[in-house]
Amino acid sequence: MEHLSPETLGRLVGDPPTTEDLQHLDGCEECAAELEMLRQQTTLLGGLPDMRPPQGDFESLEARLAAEGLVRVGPRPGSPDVIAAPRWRTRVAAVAIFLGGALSGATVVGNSSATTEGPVAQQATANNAAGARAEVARAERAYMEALVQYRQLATEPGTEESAGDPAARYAALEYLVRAGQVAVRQAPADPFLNGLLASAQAEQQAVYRRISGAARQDGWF
Amino acid sequence: MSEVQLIQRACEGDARAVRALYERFSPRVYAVVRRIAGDDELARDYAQEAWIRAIRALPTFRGDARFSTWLHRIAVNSALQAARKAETRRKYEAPALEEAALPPASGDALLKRRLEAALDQLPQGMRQVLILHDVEGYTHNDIGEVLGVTVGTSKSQLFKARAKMREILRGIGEAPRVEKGERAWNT
Repeated sequence: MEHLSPETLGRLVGDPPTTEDLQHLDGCEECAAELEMLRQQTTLLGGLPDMRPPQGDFESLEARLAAEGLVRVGPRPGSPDVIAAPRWRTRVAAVAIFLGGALSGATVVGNSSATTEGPVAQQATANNAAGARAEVARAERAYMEALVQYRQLATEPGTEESAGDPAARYAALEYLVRAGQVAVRQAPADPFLNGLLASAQAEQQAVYRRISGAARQDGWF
Repeated sequence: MSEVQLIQRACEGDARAVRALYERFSPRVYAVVRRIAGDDELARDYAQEAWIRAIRALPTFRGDARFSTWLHRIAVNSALQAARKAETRRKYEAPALEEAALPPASGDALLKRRLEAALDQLPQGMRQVLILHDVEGYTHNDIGEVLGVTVGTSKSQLFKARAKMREILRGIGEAPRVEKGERAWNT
């Protein structure tokens, strides 16, 4: 028996069949089954989900828009915050962690010289790049020492922070978020991966809020 | 903030408003340009170009149509134009030999991934018509307008594209449902 052509079956997915088509479909299980598969395929195509664009695409778009003068990326008069870009948030988070970490370390240590003369509290005095670089290096070393001490003390049983170091937790969550982003790029429609990524991002933001909130309460940020 | 306010502020160059519009509509824009592009890297370029055009044209948006419809049309036109240019370039280049590798998945996600992979393998003309009609819900008149083809050509391409998709999906992993007899299009 001569089967219906693939194009005819493609047409019958949405168009009404002719009398000849109907007669054939009534007597040919294969063509009827094939048409049913094509209809399912078309239904599934119509339900394909939207896709999240890759991370970082907005930043490159924004740069182009700014280069063309289509957007202002600098601060607007009277506007405290301008761009809610992830890179901006990341930098703020990094600063918050830096300040929060140094503050916490200094506080836990209980060393008065650390709180009053800690590296972060010092006024930058360098007037050239080499001097500034040296100050940064000094501050970084002091911060790392304070952070190590803080971690040792904070993880002792019975202390308030024994649940974990928020800075380390933030960094670990950052790792998880990045891995999640790669996974979601591989399988954009996967609800588990999307849920995992969303949870990690939400938790990371919550940790960030706690870190920056604690620092703000102490007048640091 | 309402959509109208966002559009107004974006017209004035407010980066936050542009970002808000992007966050709201980029998945829809990216989906259609990704499917038209048939390739991740090209899709990123197409999507960016679509947004640049849309932001440039924002002052001309009068609100006669929904913003999402207006933006979608810009994205489609922009991607189709870019695809035509890419196709012209490809004719002078060596053909790509790589095949899409499908990472393990299951159930509905696997099926959708197979569909996306099969779409990528369709010849460009068929893919564009199938995406616009069966995925995006365009009429043949709309397709004729954006692709510059007749309604008859659009229909013919669509019917062939559906059959070709079916054939590709069989090749990707679906066991043939019809085992008896020989079919002209299986050979």
